[in-house]
Formats: sequence, structure tokens, C-alpha cells
Amino acid sequence: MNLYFLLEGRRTEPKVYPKWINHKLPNLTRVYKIEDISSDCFLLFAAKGYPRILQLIEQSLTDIYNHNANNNIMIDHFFICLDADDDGYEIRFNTVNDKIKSIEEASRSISAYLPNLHIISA
Amino acid sequence: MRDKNNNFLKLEEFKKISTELPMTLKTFFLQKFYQKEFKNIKQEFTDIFPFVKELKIKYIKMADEHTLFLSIKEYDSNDWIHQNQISSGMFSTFLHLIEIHLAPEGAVILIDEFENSLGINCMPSTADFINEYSAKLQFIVTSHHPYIINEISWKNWKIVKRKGGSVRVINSTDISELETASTLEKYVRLINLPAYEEGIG
Repeated sequence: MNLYFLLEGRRTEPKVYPKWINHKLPNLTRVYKIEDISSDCFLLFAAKGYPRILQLIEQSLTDIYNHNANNNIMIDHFFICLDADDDGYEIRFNTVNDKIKSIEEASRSISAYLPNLHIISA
Repeated sequence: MRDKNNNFLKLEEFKKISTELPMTLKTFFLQKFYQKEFKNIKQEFTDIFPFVKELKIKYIKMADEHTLFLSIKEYDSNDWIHQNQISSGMFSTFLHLIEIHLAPEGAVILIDEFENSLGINCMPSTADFINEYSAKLQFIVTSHHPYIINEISWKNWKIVKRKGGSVRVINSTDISELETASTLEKYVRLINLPAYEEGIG
């Protein structure tokens, strides 16, 4: 199983998430570039801010699509983790969801190789 | 602008002798003797700041001295805005334009914290100048700004690390994580490197 994390956080999340993932899923190894994905790996990128993270969703999805379309070993899950801030959970969730929909509509072929998407907003 | 034989100095010669002159003085000479080049610079400046209709170096009397000032006039006003009243972003942009245009071929230009004072309206153009002139000039630019870092080809980056008094410079091409076909912007890749987890001084 391979996981891809895109985090909003600046300082805490990039430190906590790798430790938390290793604690919960000790069989996963962190890699720093998508070409290094083999089996049981995770990639993690911190966007370091909102709305900056929104710009990076499309780039991440393109990378995942390119990887999954050309490899037998797939990226299975894509986690987008961001703060709800003053907007609240629903608005942030819908913003990200709308962004993903617009990317899928612009490039229908991307849907065929998308992993399971998880939007985590709190 | 004449040499010892009283011949008019060509622009390339003027560039060489003007490197250490203050910006206002070299711009004044440019305005007076090399009007075509001055017009080009003025055009580039007004392309970035389209609300500016006139730009010149003015000779202003202050107390008992005459001083050269960069002055601009905007479309919605007839008053001149002098150097000390111009926004620091506009002034920095003009400074970069003059220094880059008047640098002799092969010159090394050092710019610390390149993005300082530059707003989003002028940052793309000033970054473009660096790329445009990089074949003729060598630039050593420091920056923490995502836009600037992304605009400069990642293979030209030098990553400076400091721990206490010990400073290390790493070539970006020696960092294997940056050598990737990923479409994720290079700045994001850079700040997610293992070395950045505790920050790079």
C-alpha cells in the first residue's frame, strides 16, 4: 500500500505526520520523490499555508496520475489535510472537493487512475 | 561623455566607467547622452507600472546644494513624485533595471534578499530580467521567496546551510530528491527535503 499526503501545515504537521504514520503503519517507508515509490511507501509534502495547498492539489494529482498510469505499483490513497480555520469544516471540505471536481472535469482521463481520496479538515 | 581624445564614448565604454557611480548620476548621464537606451529602460519601467507616464532624473536645489533625484509623474496627476516619495518597490525595480542594463558584459551582480520591497505587480518582471540577462551577466541572488525561487532554474540553486558559525553551500544538482519528473513545484520539493525539517539557517 502506498500513500500520498499533502498537508497544509507549516511546522507541526510536517513533524507530526511522519511520526504518526510510522507509529500506526510501521511497515511504511517514507520516500521523498515519486520515482522512489515501490511497495509500502508514503510521500508527504507540506504546502506551508492556505490557500497555497489548493494550488498544489492539481500538481499532486497530475503526479499521482502519471505514476499510476505508468506503473504496476500504484499510489492507493491521497490524503489532503488542512485546517478548517474560520471557514469551518464544511466550507473548507467543499472548497477542496470543488477543486478536485474541476480538475477531473478538465481532464477526464485523470479519473481513471485516481487513488482513494481523503479530505481531512478539522 | 568623451574620452581623452574627445571622442564620444560608446555605450559599452560608458557602462564600464559608470559601474561605481551612484544610480542617479549614471541614469542622469544615460538620460542626457544615451537617450535611446534611457527610453528603453523607461519603457520597461512603464510596462511594469502602467500608471506612470513620465520618468526622469531631475536636478533639484536643496539648501545650498543641487541634487539629482529620480522623479516620476503619474497619469492622474501633474505633480512630480520625487525619489524620497516613490514606493520602495518602484524604486527597487528601477534600481534593478538600471544596474542590469548598465552592467558591462560579464559583470557579476550580487543581490541580497532580491524580493525585498517588491510587490506581486513587479516581482515577475524583475525576475524575468534576471533570466533574460543571465547569458551576459552572472547573478548571485539570495531569496526566500517561493515565486523567485521557482522562477530561477533549480539547477542554478545553491542551498546555504548554517549551523552556528559553520556555513555550508550545497549544489542543488547534488540533491537527488530534486532530480525528478514531478510536476510539483520545485520550491515545495525544496522545503520538504529532510534537511528542512529543522529549518535551514
